[in-house]
Amino acid sequence: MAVHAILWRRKPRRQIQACRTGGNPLSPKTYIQEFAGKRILIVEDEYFLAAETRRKLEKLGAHVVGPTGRVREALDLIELDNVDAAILDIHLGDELVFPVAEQLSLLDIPFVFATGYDPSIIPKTFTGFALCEKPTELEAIARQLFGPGTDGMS
Amino acid sequence: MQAVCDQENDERENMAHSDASLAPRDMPDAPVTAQTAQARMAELSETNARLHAENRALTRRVAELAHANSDLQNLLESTAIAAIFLDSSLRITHYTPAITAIFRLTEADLGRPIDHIAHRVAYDRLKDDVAAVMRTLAPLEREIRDPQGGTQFLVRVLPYRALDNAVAGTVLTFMDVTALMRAEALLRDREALLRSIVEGIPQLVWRAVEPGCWTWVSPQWTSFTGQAAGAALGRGWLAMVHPEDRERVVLAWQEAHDAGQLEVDHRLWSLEANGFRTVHLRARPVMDAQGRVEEWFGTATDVHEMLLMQEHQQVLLHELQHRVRNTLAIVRSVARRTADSSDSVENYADRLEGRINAMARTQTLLTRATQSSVSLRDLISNEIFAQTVDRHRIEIEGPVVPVLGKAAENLSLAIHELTTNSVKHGALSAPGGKVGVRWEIDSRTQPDNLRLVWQETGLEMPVQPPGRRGFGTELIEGLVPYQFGGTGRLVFEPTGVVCTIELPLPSLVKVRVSITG
Repeated sequence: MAVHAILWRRKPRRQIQACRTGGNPLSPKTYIQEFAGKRILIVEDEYFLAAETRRKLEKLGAHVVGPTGRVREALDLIELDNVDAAILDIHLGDELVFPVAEQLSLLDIPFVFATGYDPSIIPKTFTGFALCEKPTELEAIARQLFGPGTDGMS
Repeated sequence: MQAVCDQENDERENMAHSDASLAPRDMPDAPVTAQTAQARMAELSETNARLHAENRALTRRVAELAHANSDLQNLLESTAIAAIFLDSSLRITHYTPAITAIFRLTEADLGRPIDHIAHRVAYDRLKDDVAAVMRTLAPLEREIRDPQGGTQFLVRVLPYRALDNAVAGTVLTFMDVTALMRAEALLRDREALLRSIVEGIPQLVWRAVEPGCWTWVSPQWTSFTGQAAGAALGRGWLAMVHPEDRERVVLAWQEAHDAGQLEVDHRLWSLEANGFRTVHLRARPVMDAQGRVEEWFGTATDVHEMLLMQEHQQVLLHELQHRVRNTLAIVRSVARRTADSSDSVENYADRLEGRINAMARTQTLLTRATQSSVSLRDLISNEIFAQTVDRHRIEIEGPVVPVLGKAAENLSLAIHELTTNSVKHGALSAPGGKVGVRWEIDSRTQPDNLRLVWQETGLEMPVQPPGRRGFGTELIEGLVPYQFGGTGRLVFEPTGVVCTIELPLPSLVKVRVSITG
């Protein structure tokens, strides 16, 4: 079962690309430690998934914002909680996460779509942003959030 | 015939002249002398020679006439056309042999009126028809049948003109057209069959010449689009195509000749739907003997429903992917939590298996259920009675509440944990203990609230609450607020466990939104 992480940005500096887990073989640099000290918002409606991601992120020294499974709550957290980056599930029960994505993009906060769905379901509004398929391992997500070609959070 | 006849006349005239010349030129008033006698002899023998010559010519003409007559006879016989010649009084003057198959005629019948002769065809109006042709001089055709043999005849009645162009009677010809009629009937049947197929299939059928110029369209076109067949011809049909799709369809037609086929999907106006529906246009060229494209034969098939179903299937597939992923995540989480609170591998394996079984039971319930919802009662009793058979110690009470997929999975995990705890340490572990599960719907709130209480009673030796937050506690106090937006409270009372869950009713039947295009 492939689980995909999809990254989109308003001004893509790279072409659509394939992501690799375990780091780029040409550069041994990993990005997972970049989570330390950052405020990471988790938007995920599945309690167990949210709890697992939170546990992992906290182990890496991140400060977890949320998690929440609701759009309204996520928007409130963005406004109140100085989010550095976000990990978003697309389906939140009876609502979709896209308003949250739009708000993050407006504030130039990097984020990653983490979803079990095929990337082709991303609405047309979001084409023109770089899409990247990846298993939702935190290393792959970290590369997308903090790796080269991003807005340079460091 | 006329020419031959004219020659014969000339011949006779010549002969008349010859006769005249045979007569003595001058009557013998003068006495016959030896000299005159000799002269007469010479004259006679000359006349005789001329007579012989005339006779030979006549014989030759007669032979020629006989030949012509026999040619005519042979012609009539070889065509096997049954013909009968009647005079103005309907009397038989002549007939061809083939007619005897229809009229029982012999030579002896010549001169008898036609209506005296027995025949085997159903032709009651024969006499009237002949009379009509005699009167109007207009030829007449009629199809008649031999009721016994089933043979079909085409009868022609024509006026018979004599040499002086006067109408001297009629000629009747009988042609056996049975084979022709059968072929025609077969052709008609085939045509009807083809038509019923073309007009019976759900496809809209059309014929066209390049590029996209329709020459014929089946009635289905009109019933589908509401456009009259006449208006669709030429390129009129394009008006029924969605404006945004027209360019694409025209382009497909332009490429059709080289491609040797036409395949394109487009939206077409539907009168019944009062909107556009997607159809699949498909055409193949019809070639002539030289392999040149003569015309195109094509169909438009309504694929709207099929496309919707494909989309729906895609949604279901995504849903399945999502659920598998989430289920695995839950299993992973449950395994980890179980490991955290297990003191031996055996204990770990038992509890993990129990939890996975609980999830499996819910899946079975959901699979069997219609609309993929289960009733709250079924869900609860299913979980409890998987671990105990003491039905008299359990009381389940509450109104009908349907629970959908994900909510059902989470709720049954919670009930599973409560039951496991009760069987091991709580009311169901001791002889006098009882469990009551009761729920009610509170309509005073907006939206309606479900309040469910799990209450254990009858315990003599209350158990000590577990020192750390267990998996069951996390489910009730962590998952319920997160997933359902409600509250959950697990209290270890002296008489046993009391668990109170409150959640908004709609959260139990929340349907996932689907993403399309």
